[in-house]
Amino acid sequence: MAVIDIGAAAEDRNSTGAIATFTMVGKANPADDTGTITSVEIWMETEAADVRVGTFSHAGSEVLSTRDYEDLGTVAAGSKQTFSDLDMDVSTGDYIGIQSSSGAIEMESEGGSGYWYKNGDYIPCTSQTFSVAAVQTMSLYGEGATEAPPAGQPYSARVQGVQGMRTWGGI
Amino acid sequence: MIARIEPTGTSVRKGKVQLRFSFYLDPTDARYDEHHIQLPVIPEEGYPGEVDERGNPVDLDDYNNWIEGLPKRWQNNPFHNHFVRVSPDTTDGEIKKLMQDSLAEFYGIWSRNENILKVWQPKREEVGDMSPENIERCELKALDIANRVSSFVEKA
Repeated sequence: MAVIDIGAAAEDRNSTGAIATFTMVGKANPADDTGTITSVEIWMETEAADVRVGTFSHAGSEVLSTRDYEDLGTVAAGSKQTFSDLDMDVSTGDYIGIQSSSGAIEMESEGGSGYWYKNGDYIPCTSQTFSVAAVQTMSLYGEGATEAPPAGQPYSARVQGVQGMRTWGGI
Repeated sequence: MIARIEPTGTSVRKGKVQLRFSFYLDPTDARYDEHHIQLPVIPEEGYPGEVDERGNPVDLDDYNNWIEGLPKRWQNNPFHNHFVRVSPDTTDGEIKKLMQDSLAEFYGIWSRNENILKVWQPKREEVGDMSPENIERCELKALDIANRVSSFVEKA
């Protein structure tokens, strides 16, 4: 069972990127194999609520589609936050992205691979055209393994009626 | 060290109730200072300087100087967060046992200064019952737990 990694190291960087109201997908370090992302690391500049992370395929011409995603909830700021036992499908060449209802992520202002961004909630999405920020790097990273996921269709639903939680239907 | 359920990370996934355990360190625990950190108190109106179309500061030096000048507050962040999936029939006692076992496992890795992502190995799970009836039971269970998270605090 081989290890897969995706995204850029979650570390304290020299700048910040507002992720509230935007969906952002890092162009750094696309997935090097096919399997499941089981852990994610993030470093927030300011606390983020309703954080959702996802894996994306790029069809060319800045057109992205979500492959899979997980809801993390609120993510604290000021230190690297790690999350284990997630279950996100990933294929070779995929990218990792993030959206939230508030907050900002640590970002390197230059010298990186850049990221795609689109105003709104686009996790999940199908064949959406994103804009490109050319040189920044987000502190968003994932690891997983090449073992096949269990049989059955994934379903996710948020629980209604809890302050700070979104509600949405299954996929 | 302490384990809590983070209510905002509660959901229904793959026919089961997905819970997020957040683990916190006490001052006497290993590497306490790594997640006991100072944060600037950001005013409600936010950064007053120029931002681009994505809301990011244009002048980084100005932004960083502004951050440095803000009052600070101490905050204790989780040293790790771990997701588990349980059936809607799982008891409070079983959940608390899961929290205790997970806290011990991850603090062990943490205190040995090992990389949690490298040492911890995921275990494959079977998908739960995807029937609408079970999904509804899961949603009710998740809502119940999220509204009673103060009942789920495990210390070690």
